[in-house]
Amino acid sequence: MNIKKTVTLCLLVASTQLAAFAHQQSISNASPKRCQAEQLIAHYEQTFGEHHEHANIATHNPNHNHNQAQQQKSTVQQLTLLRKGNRVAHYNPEQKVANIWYLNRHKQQQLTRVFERYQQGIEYQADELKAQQQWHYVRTLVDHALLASMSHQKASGAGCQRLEHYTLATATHEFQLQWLPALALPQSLVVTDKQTHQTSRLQLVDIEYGDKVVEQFTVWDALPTTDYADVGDNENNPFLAKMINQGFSGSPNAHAHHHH
Amino acid sequence: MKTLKLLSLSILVALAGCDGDDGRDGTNGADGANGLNSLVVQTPLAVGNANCLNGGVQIDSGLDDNGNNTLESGEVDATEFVCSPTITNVTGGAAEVTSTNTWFSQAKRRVEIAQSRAEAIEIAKGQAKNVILFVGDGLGISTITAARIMAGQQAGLDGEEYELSFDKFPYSGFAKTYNVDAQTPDSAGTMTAMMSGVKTDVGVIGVAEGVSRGDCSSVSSQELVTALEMAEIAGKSTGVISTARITHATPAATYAKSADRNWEDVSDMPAEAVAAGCQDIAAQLVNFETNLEARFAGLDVDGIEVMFGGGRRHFLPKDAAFNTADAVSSVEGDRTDGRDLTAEWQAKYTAGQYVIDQAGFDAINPATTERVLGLFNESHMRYEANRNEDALGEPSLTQMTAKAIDMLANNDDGFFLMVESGRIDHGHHAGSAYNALTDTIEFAKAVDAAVKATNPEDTLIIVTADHSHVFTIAGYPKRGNPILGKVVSVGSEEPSLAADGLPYTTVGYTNGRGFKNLGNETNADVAYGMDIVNDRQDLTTVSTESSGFHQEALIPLSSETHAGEDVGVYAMGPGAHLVTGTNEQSLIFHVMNHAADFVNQADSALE
Repeated sequence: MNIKKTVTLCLLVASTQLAAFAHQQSISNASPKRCQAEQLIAHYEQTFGEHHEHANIATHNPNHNHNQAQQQKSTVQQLTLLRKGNRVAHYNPEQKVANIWYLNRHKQQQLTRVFERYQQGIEYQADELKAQQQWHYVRTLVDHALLASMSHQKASGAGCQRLEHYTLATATHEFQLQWLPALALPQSLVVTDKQTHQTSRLQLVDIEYGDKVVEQFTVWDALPTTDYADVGDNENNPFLAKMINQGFSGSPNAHAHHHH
Repeated sequence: MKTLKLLSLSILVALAGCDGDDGRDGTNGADGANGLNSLVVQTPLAVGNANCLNGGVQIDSGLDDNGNNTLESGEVDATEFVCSPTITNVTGGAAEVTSTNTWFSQAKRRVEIAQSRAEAIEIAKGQAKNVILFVGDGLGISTITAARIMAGQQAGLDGEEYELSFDKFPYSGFAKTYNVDAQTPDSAGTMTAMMSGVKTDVGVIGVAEGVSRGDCSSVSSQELVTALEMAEIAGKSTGVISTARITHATPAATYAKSADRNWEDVSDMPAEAVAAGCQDIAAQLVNFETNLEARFAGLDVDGIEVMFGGGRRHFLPKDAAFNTADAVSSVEGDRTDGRDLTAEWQAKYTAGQYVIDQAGFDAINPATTERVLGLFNESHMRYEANRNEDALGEPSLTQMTAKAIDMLANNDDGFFLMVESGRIDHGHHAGSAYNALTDTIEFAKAVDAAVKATNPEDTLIIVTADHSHVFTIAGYPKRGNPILGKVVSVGSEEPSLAADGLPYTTVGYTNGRGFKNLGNETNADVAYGMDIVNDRQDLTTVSTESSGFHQEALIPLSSETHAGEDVGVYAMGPGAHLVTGTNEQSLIFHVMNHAADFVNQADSALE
């Protein structure tokens, strides 16, 4: 599995292509204590390529290599979601890269990608075409179409603590969602590929409230930015020249020798 | 060589007898010797033959002495020449077929027109009251050709025979685009050369090559004087238009001096540069009048009358309170010095109009408006292809050009106007031929609007580019094949297949982000959020003519690059005849100067 591409898919589109088994886990400190849905920092853990133990039972399949499957390691990454009104950021702490979206009054959605290691940002052209649908995913980490197609199974708690359980089975995948409606965030989303038995898991670890959200946005806003349209005219800028020649690689290794 | 053999017949004649009785037949005489055939050989002679200078036929005759039915040289008894007459006019036969051919007659007519133009050339300096310089950013020759075909096909023609507005200009030549320190140039160095007549380094604005990029202190004594500044000094009206940010390299090179093209506002500058007194480019635009007067003792000018473009962010404080209704970002302005340059400009020019959208633009009355600052986007203006998606609306390049000329023409002393189509370059950088070509077509329309709005006897119009792109028209598509389509060869209805068995497009890029299939997307920049793709694609079922298709690229780069070949220069009006041959890009300033006599007029104004 190409981890980099999978991360990009998860960040920018939806998790519907990923495979996972349901993961029933309750994390007490992740439960919302206040309903401050418009200003929060939600810490998530993403697991890719995980094999559920039941998957190894399928030894009747001649193409299935039991030992290989057991040896395949899952990849775990951190994802931090920051939300302040119509601004939302997805931050990868390992790569130190933040995707910051803003939905303006005309429902245009603009993305700025901040590279903390380079102390620079790249602005992408505002996109108004798919904004309504994309914004739901950007803001909640769950694709709107996916949520709308899932079946409500049960609910527990009330008010800010209310937790709703949804499921969906398609021909190729099974989805299990624990949804926090007061925050419009998933507590967990597990997707399982029925054929490969691989899972992808998005798990809420912690939520923070308060001024830290504002402070973080302020730090990012202070960084100089460049329109991506201007990147091609800036071959003399080392960072932008690197962008021209190699593009952006989300791999930490790609930036290991370029800390600034 | 072909020869013609003619065999003669031997004729025996029997003598008739007398009227008396016939006597007995005498003894048969002995058989006579066999007769000889007479042979004639005709040999065509080419033009230039010593005996027939206009060509003709050589006729050799003689007896076939050896009876082998071939007239050999030793058997030739007589030689005659039938020569063609001297050609005094092109009529008849094959020549008539040539002379009545459409291609022939069209080209012949072009030569006649060119001859009459040559005879009418006005060689005296200063015959142009007005000068308009059109710059297509990244408008290389291949882009012009492809846009011409696309425009023609949009008009229902095959396309190749179509003419963009500036294809019809009477004079053209080539400009070598390299910067003093760079083989493949950027807009800053090239536009500085065009505006000041001095080639310089990559990345610097309005300063000579003695500058060190990014070093404020090195600007001093390197500042160049531009055609726009001379026109201003000479009392003409002036204007700058761009679909990019008005502070971007090309428009900036008309009015600013900067050690770095990226110093578009104060937040883009190093602190030491600000402390040393260097001004950001946006501030230089708003302070143009003051700064120019400060450079020349006793000078009194009235400033730039028309400024249309994008780039509002560089004029507004980094404070959401200054956001306009057209803001795209959460905080529209970038300035960290708290200055609102739009307010400063309005305070300085109380009769001027500041507009940010289509409605404001439409409300400008060119007959009564003294000056205008139009900043229609936070950053670059839209591509022409998605201009209609702007929330508050943006004027087209044609609309801006026409209105600017109407305003500037109010000055009886004439005007200088620079018009840049800034996003041709961006379409290419994003790997979208569709966006680059549709912006080029709009550029050609703007040129046409200028031609129609001015008098060719007093207005020099030059159309050129700052540099090219690695954009190619390749393969062997048949005539009329859609320029954005897959290559379909002559006589075929199916796409040609490459060695890998896959079809391929006519236009493509040497480098860049490569293939994207974004359907009806009209904004090339959307591709920047997607992966680079440089391996061959199966385009069999892909609509390569759709607006969202991005062409394949060989070398994977995050942004497609400029190219280093020459660009075209097209001209009409007084002084246009000087645009000929292959020249350094700095020649363009000198052509404009010859036409409008900028230097002498400015010197006179300063005396």
